[in-house]
Amino acid sequence: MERLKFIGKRLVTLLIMLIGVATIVFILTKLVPGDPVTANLSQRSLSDPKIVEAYKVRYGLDKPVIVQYFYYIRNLLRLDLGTSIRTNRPVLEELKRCYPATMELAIFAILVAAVFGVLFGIISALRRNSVIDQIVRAISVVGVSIPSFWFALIVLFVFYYKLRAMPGPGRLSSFYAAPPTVTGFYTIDALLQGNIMKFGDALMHLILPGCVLAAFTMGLITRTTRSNMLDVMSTDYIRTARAKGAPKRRVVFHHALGNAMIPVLTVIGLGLGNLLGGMVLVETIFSWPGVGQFAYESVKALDYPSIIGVSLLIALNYMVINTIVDILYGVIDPRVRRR
Amino acid sequence: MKKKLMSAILSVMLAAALAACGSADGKYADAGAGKTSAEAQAGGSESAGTGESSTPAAGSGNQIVINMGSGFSTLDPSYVYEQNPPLVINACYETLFKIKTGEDSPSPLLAESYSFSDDAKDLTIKLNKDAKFASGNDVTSADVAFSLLRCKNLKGNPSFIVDNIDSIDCPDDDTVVIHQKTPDSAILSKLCYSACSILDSKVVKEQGGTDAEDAAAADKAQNYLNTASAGSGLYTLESYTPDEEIDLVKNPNYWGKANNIDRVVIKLTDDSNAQMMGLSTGDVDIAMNLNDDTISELSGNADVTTSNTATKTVAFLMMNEDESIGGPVSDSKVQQAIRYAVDYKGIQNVTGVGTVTPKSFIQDGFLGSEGQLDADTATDIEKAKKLLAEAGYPDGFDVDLTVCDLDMEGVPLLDLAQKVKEDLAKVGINVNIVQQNWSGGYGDAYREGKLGFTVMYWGIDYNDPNVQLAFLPGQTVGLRASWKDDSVYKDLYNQILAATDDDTRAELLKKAQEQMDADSPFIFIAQAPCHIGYRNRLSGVQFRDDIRLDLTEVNVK
Amino acid sequence: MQKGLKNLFRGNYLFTAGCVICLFWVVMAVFAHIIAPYDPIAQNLSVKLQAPSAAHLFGTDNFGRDIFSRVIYGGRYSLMAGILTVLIAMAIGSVYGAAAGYIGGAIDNVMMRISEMILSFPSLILAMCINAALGSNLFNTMFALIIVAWPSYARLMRSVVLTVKENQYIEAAEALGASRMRILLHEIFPNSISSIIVMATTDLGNQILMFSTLSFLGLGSAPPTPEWGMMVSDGVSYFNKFWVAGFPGLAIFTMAVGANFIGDGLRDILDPKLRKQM
Repeated sequence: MERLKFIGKRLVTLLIMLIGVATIVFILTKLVPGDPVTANLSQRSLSDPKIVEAYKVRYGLDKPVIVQYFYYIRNLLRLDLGTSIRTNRPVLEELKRCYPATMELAIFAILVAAVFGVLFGIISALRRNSVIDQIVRAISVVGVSIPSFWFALIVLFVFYYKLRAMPGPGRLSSFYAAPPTVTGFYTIDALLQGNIMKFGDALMHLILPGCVLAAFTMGLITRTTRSNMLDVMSTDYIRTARAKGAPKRRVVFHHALGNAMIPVLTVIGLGLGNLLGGMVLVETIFSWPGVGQFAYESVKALDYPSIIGVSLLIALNYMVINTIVDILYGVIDPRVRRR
Repeated sequence: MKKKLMSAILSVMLAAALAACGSADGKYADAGAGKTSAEAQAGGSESAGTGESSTPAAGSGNQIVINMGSGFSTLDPSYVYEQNPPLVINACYETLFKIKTGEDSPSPLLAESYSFSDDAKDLTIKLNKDAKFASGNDVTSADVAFSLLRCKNLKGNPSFIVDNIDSIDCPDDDTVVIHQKTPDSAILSKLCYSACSILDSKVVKEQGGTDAEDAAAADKAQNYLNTASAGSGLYTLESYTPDEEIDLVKNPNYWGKANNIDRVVIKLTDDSNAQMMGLSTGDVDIAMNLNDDTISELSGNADVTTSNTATKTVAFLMMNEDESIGGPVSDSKVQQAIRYAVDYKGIQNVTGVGTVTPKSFIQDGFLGSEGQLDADTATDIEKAKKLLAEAGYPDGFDVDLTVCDLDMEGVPLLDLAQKVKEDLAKVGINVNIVQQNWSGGYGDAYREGKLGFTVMYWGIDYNDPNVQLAFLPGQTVGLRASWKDDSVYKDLYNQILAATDDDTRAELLKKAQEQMDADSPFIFIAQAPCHIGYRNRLSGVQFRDDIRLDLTEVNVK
Repeated sequence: MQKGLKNLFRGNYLFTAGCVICLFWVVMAVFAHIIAPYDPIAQNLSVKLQAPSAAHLFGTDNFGRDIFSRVIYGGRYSLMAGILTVLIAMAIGSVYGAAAGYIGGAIDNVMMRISEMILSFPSLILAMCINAALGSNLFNTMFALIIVAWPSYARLMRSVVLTVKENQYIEAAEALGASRMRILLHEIFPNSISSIIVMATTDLGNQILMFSTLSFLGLGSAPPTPEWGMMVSDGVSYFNKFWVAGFPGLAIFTMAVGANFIGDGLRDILDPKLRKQM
C-alpha cells in the first residue's frame, strides 16, 4: 500500500513537472522578438497585411497570449500537441515519426557505451593505479571531453571520406527504400521484411553516429563502474569471501560485480535519458531524421508547437527514466520512501 | 596471470574492432556500383509498406535518385513558395503556360492559345482538349478557375501572384477568361509559376478544398495534398516524409509525351558533402546542392557531369535612406563610395565558381538587363576615399552591419558580411557585424525598414524582370530602405507594367537601371551560382531558376 | 607544504597532465598577441583553404585567414566563457541549494522541483531558445549557459546542508545553546568546499564544451571573431579540408581534457572516502 502511494505521488509530480516544462517553453517562445509569422512567411507576403492576418488566424496566433496558453495546455491534456508551423503536420505525428529513429540510435549507443564502459571500469578497478588503470581512466576522460560535433566530423572524414569503409549520413543507403514501418527501427523492420542486406546496411549506418554518441556516456559508465567496484571490493563482505579463500576471479564476477552494478544501471538509465537531449548535433551532422534534428529545425523556424512538443518528449523521457529509477530504489531500499 | 587475462581481453576487443572495419571496407568501397536494378525494383514493390497501393507495372523499370536541400513546408501547390518544392510541383502538376528550358518567354502547356483584350486587362485562354488529370478527369475551365481562385483566397505565401486577378469566367469547358484589375505585362510569366498549377478540382473538393472567399480558414485539403498529388503532371506523389524523402511514380494517365524514368526518389539533405559522395559512388544520380568546394572534388570523375550556373538569386547591400536609421550610410555620396570600395572580384571568389556580378538591379539573364559588371575594374579605392571625404568623412566612420542566419544558394550571408567588413576597412569604414536570427527579430526589423545597413539576398519568384521592380522607391524592398515614393520612378513603374511588347519593355527597364545606378541605396554584389552534378547515364539535366530542374525533360540514355 | 604539493603530483599522471595542458592554454590566451604570427581576422583570399605548411602551420580557412593564429586567439574566449560561467553558476546554485536545504519543508520541495525541471530539460534546446530570444553574442551565450548550469550546484549544496543538519553533533551543539544559523555556516563551508571544487573543475570542461557547441551552432560572437566552435562549423562546408575544422576542434578537445583531468585528479585527492582506502 505504502509502495503504491509512493508510486502514485511520483506520477502526480511527474505530470505537474511536465506542465511546468510546457509552460517554460511556451513563455520562452513568446519572449522571442519577432514571431513565427516572420519565420514562415516569405519576404513578399510579409508586406501584405491580408496574408499575415490569414496566417495568424490559421495558427491561432491572433488571440491574446494568455488565451493561447490556456488553449495550449487544454489541448495538451487531451494529447493534442497542435500543428507544426514548419511542416504543416500534427506535431504528435511528427514526433511519432522521429522518435523511433532517435531511439534506435540511442539504444545502440547505450549498448556500445555500457559494454565498453563496464568492461573498462572493471579492468581499471582490478588493476588499480597500474598503467592500464591510467590508460583506461584517460580514455574515459577523453570520452567525456571530446566535442561531439568535432568527433562526428573527424570520423566522417576518416571512415567515410578517406577510407570509404563506412556509410555516410542517413539511416539507409540511397539505393534502399525504407522498410515497411512496424517498430520504426530500420534494423528490426528490415529483419521482419526478411531483407538481410538491408539489415546490414541499417546496422552499418548506426555505427559511426552510435559511437560518437556513446563516447560521453561510456566515459561516465567507466568512471562509475570503477569507483563502485573499488567501493564494493573494500567491503567486509568481499574481504571475508577472500579471506575464506575464494579465488579472486570468482569473487569479482560472482560477488562484487553484482553489487557494484546497481548504481551503474542507474547511470546507464540516466545516460539513455541524456542521450536524447544530446542528439541535436549528432543527428544534424549525420542527417539522422530523429528528434534532435527535428528540434534543431524547429528552433530555427520558431515553430513553437514543435519546440514544446520536442521538449516535452525529451523531458518526459528523462523524467520517466528518473522516476523508474526512483521507484526501483524505493522498492529495493525502503528507507528512500520515508524521505 | 591476471595481467595476461587483461591484455588478452583488450587485444581481442581491438581485433574485433579492426575486423569490423576491415570487413566493411570491401562493401562500401564500391557501394552503388554493385547495386543493380533488381534493388531498384525491390524499392518499387516495397512501397506497399508506406500505405499506398503498389506501383503500376513499370515499363522500363528505370529509377533515379535525386539529392536536394530541404526547406519544404508543404506540397500543396497553392501554398508552395520555397525554392526547392517547385521541382516536385512541376513533376506532378502542370500550369497553363510554361517557360521551356532554354527559352525566355512562356509558351502554352495546358493552354492551347490565348489572346488579350485591347485594354490588356482581359486574357482569354483556350485549353488543350487532350489534357487529363492523373485521376482520369478532363482538365476543364472549372479546374482552372478553381485552382487560381483557391490560390488567391488561401492567402498563403504565393497568393500575391494572382492578387491582380479580379474574376474568372468560364464560358465553356475549354475557355477561360481572366479579368485583371490592372494591365500586367508579366501575367503569362506569372501563370507559369508553381502556385498557378492546375489542380483536379473534383478530387481537391472531395478532400475538403474550397476556392471560396473564406478559403484561408475553410480549406482542409492541404493535409491530403501533402500525401498525394492531384494534377495532370508526368508523375504522381507516392509518399512524402518531411525532412527525409519524396517518392514520385509515373502517372499512368499522362496525356503528354513521357520520359523513360518510372520512379524518382528524392532524398532531402542539405549536406553537400554527402551529396558529392553519393554522386561519386553512384548511389545518387543527381545532386542539386553541391558547393564550390565539393564540385572541385568531382572534377576528375569520368561518370559525372557538373555545372555551375549563375542563378538569378542576387545578394545586395541595403543602406537606409533615413538618416536617423542609416546614419552615415544614408548619405548618397557615402553610398557611392561604398559602391566603389567593394571588391567584387573577391566576392566572386567567396561565392564560388559561376558567380556573376550584375551591373544593375536587373539580373544578368533577364530581358532588358544591362548585363554583367566588369568585376576587375569596378573597384576603385581612391575614388571611394575621395567620395567619403566629400561627404565629410575623410577618416571614415563606425557602422553596424546587421546580418541574419540565412544563406543564399548555400553561401552564408555571414560570409558576405565578413568580406564586406574587410573591404570597407580599406577605405576607413569600420564595420561591426551584428548577428540576428531571421526569425528572432531580423525579419521584422528588415520588413519594417528599421535596419540601417545590411547584406541580404533576393530570390526571384516568377521568372520575369518585373520581379525586380520591388526595389524601386515606394515598392516592397525600396520601402525597407526607407526609400519613399518618387514621381519619376512612379511613372516609369506604371509604364513598365503596361508595356506588352518586349522592345518597349527592354527600353523602359534600361532607363530604370540607369536611374537606379545613380541614386539607389542598393548595391547588387553577386548572383549566386548553383552547382549541380549528375551521372552521365542521364540526359536533359539542366538547372533553371524557377523550378530548379525540369524532371519531365530528364531521361536515362 | 612543498612536500604536500609534490605528493599531489607524484603518481597522479593524469592530474599532472591536466595541469600542464591548462597552463599551456592559459599562457597561449594571455600572450596570444605575441605568439600569433598573423592577425587572426585579416583576410587574404589569394591563399584561401591552403593545407598546413611552414607559412601557415594549421593551414588557412575559406577567407585565407591563418588558422594557427585564430586558434591561439580563440583560447581567450573559451577560457573566459568557461571560467565565468562556472563561477557564476556556482555562486547562484550554492546559495539557492543552501537556502532550500536550510528552509526545508514545502518550500524546499518546490525549489528543488523547479531546479529539477531545468535539469530534465534538454539543455541545448533551452540554450538555443534563450539565445534566439536574446540575440547572439558572447554575453547572451554565457547567460544561457549559466541558466542551464546552476541547478547541479544547487542539488549538491542542498545535500551537503541536509547532511550537516542531520548530524548529531549539531543537535548536541544546539543543546548547548549555539545559534543554529551559525553552526550551519560554520559546518557547511568546510563540508562542501571539496565537493564543490571537484564539481566546478569537472564542470569547467563541460562548460567549455557547451560554449563551443553553442558557438558551433552559430550562437556566439559574430564572425570574424575567432571562436573555436564557430571555426569548426566553418569547416563543415569544407570537410575534405580537414584542417579547417580539425585544429580548432583539437583545441577545444585538449582544453576540455585538461580541465577534466584536473577534476578527476582532484576528486581522487579530495574525496575522503577514496582517500581512506589509499
